Formats: sequence, C-alpha cells, structure tokens
Amino acid sequence: MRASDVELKGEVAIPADPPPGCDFHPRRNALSFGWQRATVVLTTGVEAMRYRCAVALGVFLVVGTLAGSGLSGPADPLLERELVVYSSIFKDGADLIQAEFKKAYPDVRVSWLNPGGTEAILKRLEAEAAAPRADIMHSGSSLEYQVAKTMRLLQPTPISLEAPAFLRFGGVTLPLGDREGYFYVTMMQWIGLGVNTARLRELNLPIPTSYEDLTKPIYQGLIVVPLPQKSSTAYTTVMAAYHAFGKDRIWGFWDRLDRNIKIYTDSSSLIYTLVRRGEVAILIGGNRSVWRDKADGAPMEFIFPKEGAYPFDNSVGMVRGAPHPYVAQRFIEFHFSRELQAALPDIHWVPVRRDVRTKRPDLSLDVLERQIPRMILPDDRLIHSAEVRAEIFRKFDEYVRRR
Amino acid sequence: MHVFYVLVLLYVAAFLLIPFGRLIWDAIAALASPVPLPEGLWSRLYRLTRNSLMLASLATALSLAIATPLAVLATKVRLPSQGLFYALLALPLVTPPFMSGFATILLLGRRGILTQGLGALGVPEFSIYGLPGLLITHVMHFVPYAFLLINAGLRSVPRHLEEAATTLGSGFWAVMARIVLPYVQPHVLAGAMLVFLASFGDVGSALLVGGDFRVLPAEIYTSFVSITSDSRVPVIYGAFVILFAMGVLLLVRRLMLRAQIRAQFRTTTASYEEPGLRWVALVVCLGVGMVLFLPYVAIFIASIGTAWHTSLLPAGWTVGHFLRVLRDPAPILTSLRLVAVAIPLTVVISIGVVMMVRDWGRIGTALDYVSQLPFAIPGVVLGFGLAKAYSGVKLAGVEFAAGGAILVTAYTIRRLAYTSRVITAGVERIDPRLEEASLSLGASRLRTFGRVVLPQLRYVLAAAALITLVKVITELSATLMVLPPGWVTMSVFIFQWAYEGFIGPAAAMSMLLLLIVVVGTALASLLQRERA
Repeated sequence: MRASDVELKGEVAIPADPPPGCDFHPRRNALSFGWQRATVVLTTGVEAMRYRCAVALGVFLVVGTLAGSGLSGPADPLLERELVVYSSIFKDGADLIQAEFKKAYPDVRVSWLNPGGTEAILKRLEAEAAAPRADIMHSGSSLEYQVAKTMRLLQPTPISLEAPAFLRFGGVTLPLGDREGYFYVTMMQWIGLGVNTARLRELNLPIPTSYEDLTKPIYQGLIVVPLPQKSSTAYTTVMAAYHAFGKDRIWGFWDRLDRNIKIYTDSSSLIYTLVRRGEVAILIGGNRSVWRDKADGAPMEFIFPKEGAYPFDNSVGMVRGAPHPYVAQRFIEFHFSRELQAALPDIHWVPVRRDVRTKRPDLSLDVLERQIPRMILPDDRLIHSAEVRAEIFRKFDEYVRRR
Repeated sequence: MHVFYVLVLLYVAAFLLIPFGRLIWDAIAALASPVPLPEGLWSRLYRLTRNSLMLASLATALSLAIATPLAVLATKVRLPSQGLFYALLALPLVTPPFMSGFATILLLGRRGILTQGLGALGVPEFSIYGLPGLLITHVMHFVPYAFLLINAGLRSVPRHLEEAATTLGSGFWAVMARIVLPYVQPHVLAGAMLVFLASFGDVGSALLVGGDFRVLPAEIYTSFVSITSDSRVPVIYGAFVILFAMGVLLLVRRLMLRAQIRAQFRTTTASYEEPGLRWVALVVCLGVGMVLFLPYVAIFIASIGTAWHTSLLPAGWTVGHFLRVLRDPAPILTSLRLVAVAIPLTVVISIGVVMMVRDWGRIGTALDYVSQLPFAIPGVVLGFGLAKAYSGVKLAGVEFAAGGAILVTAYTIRRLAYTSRVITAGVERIDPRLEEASLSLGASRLRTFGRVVLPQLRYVLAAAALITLVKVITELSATLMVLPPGWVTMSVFIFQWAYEGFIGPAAAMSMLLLLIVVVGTALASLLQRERA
C-alpha cells in the first residue's frame, strides 16, 4: 500500500485499491463527478454575476477559492481513465504518441505537461514526492532516469510486451533500460553536429566533419551549444565530447571551442531554432530535430563526428506512487507496441525494435549502423561521477562568466 | 462590510504576504546556514542585476524618446486617422511581451522579413540575440504603455496656459517644451516607471531572444526548474528582487500620487491646426503605428504559412496550423475557464482593497501598498513564492497547488495592482455626500455600498474586468512557475511551441488569443455604449 492510499482512506474512507483488473471504480468516479459539478455551478455563478450581488459573490468566491481549491483540480487523480505524463519530448512527438495511444485506449485522457525540460521534471517529481501528481516520467536520456531512480522517484514496472534489454550496435552493446524495470529505453538518437548548409555556403565555409574541426578560427561566432547546468540534453552533449576526448584533453578542446561559440543557451530546444533560421550555423546536439527540420525543408544536415557518435537514448518510467498505475503501465507497454515503434520514424526517432518494419527504412537501426562511422560506448563511471559533474559545471560557469 | 474586508485581508495575507515573507525568510536561512553558498553566487547576482537594470533603463529611455513626441503630436494635433492610430497602438497592450519577442525573430532575425529587406539596401548583417533583440522587443512592446500615460497627462494640461503662451508669440514646439512637458512631468515619470518595471520583470522574451545576455527573472526561472542548480539560488535571487521592488514601489507611489493631483484639474485640451504640423503628426503617428503593427503582420503570416526557414515569405500557405490548434482546444478552454473565475475574483478583491483604504485608515493604506507589490515584482518571483509556500498544502482535502486554484490565485494577486488602480480612479469620482445621505437615512454600510456606490462604479468595473481579462489571458511568467498538469493555457502553449521552433501552431494560437481579447474589448465597449 502506498502513502497516498493511506491518506485517501483516512479522509474519504474509500477503499484504496480497485478490484483486480478493474479500471473503473464507481465510488471514485462518483466523488470526482461531484467536484466537477461544483466547478460548473461556480463558473455559471461567476458568469451570471451582476454588480448588485458582487459583494456576496465575492465572499463566496474568496471562501470558495480558499476552501475548495481543488474544485478545479487537475485531471482527477482518483480516476483510472486519466493519465498524467510529465514529458520533455518535443510537441510533434507528444502529438504522435497521444494520437497513437488514443487509438488503442480511446477512453483514457492523457494530460501532458512539460515543466521546462527533463531537469524540471526531476525537480517537480522531487517536490511532489509525498503526493505524486504525475504517473509517467517521459522522454530524456537514461542518464536522468538513473538519477530519478537513485532519488527514489520511480517505481519498477514489469511490462508484458517484450522490450529489448540490449542493443548491439556498431560494435558496442548498450543497455536499453534498467534491469529492475525502473525505466525503459523506447527510442534512440545520436549526438553530433547539426549544420545549416545554406549559411555555411553563404560564408563559403566547408561543412565540419569532426568536433576538432569546430575549433578552427573560420567557425568563430558560428556555433551554439546549450548549457549543461540548465539541461540534461546539454549535459549529454558535453558528455559526448568528454567521451570523445577523454579526461585529459576535454578542457583543452573546449577552451578552443569556446572561442568560436556565439551563444550558450539555457535551453537545448532553442539551439535547433537558431540554426534552422540561420542565426547561427552549427550546433552540437541530437540528430532527431535536425532531421525533422531537414524534412520540413530547412537547409540542415546532421554530421556524425569522426571522433564518434554518442548514443542519446529516450526513456520512460513510472513515477513512484503514480495515481493511475494501471493506465501508466499500459502507457509504458504501448511504447514497445508494433504500432508506435513503426510510427516513431514519422517524427524522426529511431525505434529500438529491429523486428518492426517502418515506412522510413532509412531511419532503422540496420541502416544507421552502416552510416555511423564510429560509435562511442558510454562509460558509466564517467556518466555517474559526481566529481565529473561538478567539474563540468565549474568549467561552464567560467565560460559563461567570461562573456 | 467588515466581514468582507477581513476576508479580503486574509486573502491578500495568505497569497501575497506569506509567499513573499516565506521567500525572504528562506533566503535569510540560506545565508545564515553553515553550508557554503555556491561559488560565484554574488558576482553572478551582480552581473544579472546590472544586465537587468541596463536593459530596463535603455528600454525606458528609448520608449520615452518615442512615446513623448508621439503623444504630443497625437494629443495636440487633430489627425484625420486618429482612431486607426489608437487601434494600432492598442495591439501591444493586449498581447504578452514574449509574442513581441517571437515577432522580433520573424522580422529581424538573420532570415527575418525586415533583415532581408535591409540587406537588399546594403545594410550589413547583424545579430539580434542578446541585448539588441531584447531592447527592440521591449521598446516595440512598451511604447504604448508610456504613450497612454503621457497622453492622459497631456489631456489634463489647462488650455489657457497654452493659449496664453501662443498669444505671447511662442511656437508649437516652444509651448510644448516650456509649458506642456514640465506640466506633465509626473505622467512622463509614471510612464517611465511602468516601462522600467515591465521590462525588468519580463521572462518570455529574455528566454527567446536573450541569447547570452542573461537577466535576473529568467535566471530565477531557469534555476528554479533545474535539478542541478542549488535550490538556494532562486530563493536568494527571488528575495533580492522582492526587496528591490519594494523600494521601487515606494518611488512609484510617490510619482503616482503626484500624477493624480495634476489629473484632477478638469479642462479641455488645446489643439493646434497648423497645416505643416498636421502633416508631420500624420506621418509620425501612422509611421510609428505601422511599425508597431509589423510584429502582428509577421505573426499572421507565420500562422498561415508552411515551411518558413530562409525565404522572405513562407514556401506555401495553409490553414493547417489553425486546424491543429482547434483540434485540441484544451488550452483555449483552460484559459477561458481561468479567466471566467479570475476576473470576478480579482474585481471583488480589488473593490475590497479600494474601499478599505477609505474605511479602515492605516490598515487600508498598508493593504493598498502591499497589493501594489506584484506590480513591481516579476511574475516568476510571485509564482515561485506561491509554489514554495503552498507545495503539498491541502485545502478541503485537495492539494492546493495541484489544480487551477493556484493559477487563479496567482492571477488574482498578480493583477490586483492594475484592477485596484482602475477602481480607485472610479471611487475617487464618487461624491461622498451621496453615501452620507444614505447612511443618515438609516441604511447600513453594506446596503449603502450595494445601492449607492456600486451602481456608480458599474462602468469602472467593466473597464477593470476588461483590463483583468487582458492581463490574465496573456500572463506567462507566474504560470510557468506553478503550472499544474492538465492546465496548459494559451500563453503557455504559444511560448512552448515557439520555444521549440514550431512557429506555425504558436502563431495560430497567438492569433486566436488576439481574437479573444479583441472580441472581449469590442463586446465591453458595445455593452457600455448601449447602456450609455
């Protein structure tokens, strides 16, 4: 029994768990219907307000807001046909997953919230740990899910569909999630260089092919990188370079690169907008958004750097004490369904299931394996090292301070 | 009435004083803690404050430099298309600043419409990201704010002063420089303060076009949402902003008082009809009006354009973005639901604050000062304070911060300053003898208020409701800090989609937001006209 269930019992004396296999609990729904009706009554009352009863209504509203602050509550946490997803996935991704999931579960209403990236999701989940509002932590690299697991923000979720446990790719073997089922990797991309070819052509500059190329003076003021202190994607980006150059050479490389960087953004999503519109010519980031922009007609190309492409997986996990665990479990399972895995290339994500045929074979693991010149195997000791993290933050604080 | 006042007092104390007090207390605790503070905290705070002050000061100076002559020409010279000019000027008033930031990218980004036009004229390439982009965005957005205040001041200048100066041989510009502008100095200062505070507190534009130029409110937001940041950083920065804003507010109140004293002279406005002057006024007013209108043209084009990356105009045209937005109307319905509750609540509480100033002496005055604080404090700090103070707190068995109630509360508190100022202006015009007569005839205070005061305030309340509508539906910064799941508003939708580079749906939603505000404004004015 979870902490939230105990509270529920104490306050409204409703049985904590629905009967096995039952999604719909009559008493829970009756209760939430009552709240919804109260909302309607209040709203109607407000709309019909006349100045003569303003004072009386004001008192009612003040008291109402204070006492019934939950009447306009979120997707009702007592309903099993609701699902609250905290996700940092881009809007096109959320739209696609929402549409596909709706086909399979038409009665479930999914509320998506992006509080400002995966870091923000972790912060929210930590703040809400005593009374979780979200069911699902969605999107972001497995690195962040490992942090969430350590912070006891996730709960293990056995799933019935066969999710691949490992990915053998480019001579390396990558784990696709957590052994105990705290999180699962659902789709893949890689860290490399995104370039605006039109902008480089205008400037008569060659397309860089390696990280080292970016340090050349010809690219001065043409590069954008997100700040690792503010974004997990950005942290993964720096990790990619850290792995490529190693502990001894990374800061020598980045000191030279820093001279060419025009902007350090607080957000990892902004870098794609800046390069797509030609404000800056080159980014260090994931291939997914670059391929999306290219498909949309932007003069963009993604380059897998010679030093190696770093895998940037995308994961999903159930929040510890999720208010709707049954639907949450199905939502996670759904990510490995044939339907969704086949649809992922539509939004330029690479599915992790090799056995699924898609409309975009060019975005399959088999084809990409032949395209990527060299893979980098993430080193767990580096990724989870507190010293390395502190070192990265200290260095980037310096870079920002110098500007 | 006293029960009502106590409830209002409790509301303001619970949702304004406690969150701000808690932030200051937590900041003191963080400073007193033996755990060392993050390295470089103070130098970063200094740099952020310097950047924020520099941006706000430059935006204020430039806005005044444009708004002052503009207001002089628009008010003192009779123009043939004055209605059109005022309509163009009203657009930035009814849209959030980040929409202007978004438009700045479309217009003046490296591939912007204007940039390409300027490039064809031989103007060298420039980058807007950083201080230049923020400055352009804020000036384009805040000029109308300063304009309206100066305009109100100019209308209060006694006609005979100008006539006397003209009779004595002074020309138009000499009269303006020596007589009119010194007279409206408090309004100019009030306008300056309004622009300064709005620019200082803006988050959305800073995140969109700020580039490497970091400002305090945006840093508070990004530190608050990041798990890797030391959680004491936004607390200390937030408390600093509150104390800074309290000082600024004292100054603002003094300026406002001076402005109100001058405004009490009732007079007709002198107007000048020299033909040359009319042409100058026409060209300047319509020119500035068109420039301020340009961002909305760009947003409209984006809302019906397909791919728009490097070409002057989009590759094709579509209604797909509108269909996408209307297919899932949840943000629109959420905004309308929130507005429907927040407007009456804000108006009712504002009435309470205003009446308490009259009836409860010092307590009322203190409450009035406190209720003006959110005017000077950025929305992120208010949202942060509410989120910290009420995280996990349950009211009537339901978590307060988990639903729309926290949004309604944030909006009510944040917009209290605007609404209560409008109602104050209305209450000051009510003849106290009418209330005295009612009371002396034996009516209770509540009955007198309901039968005598409120009927006289009906149009003022409609105006207050309209201002609240505009300010609530366009609110972003506090919303970002407290946003519960399932409560994405139109503003948040626009911001998030624009931030991720999906300009089409963001622009389509922007147009719908604009439409709602324009329809609301039109209905309110129609209603008022019918009643009149």
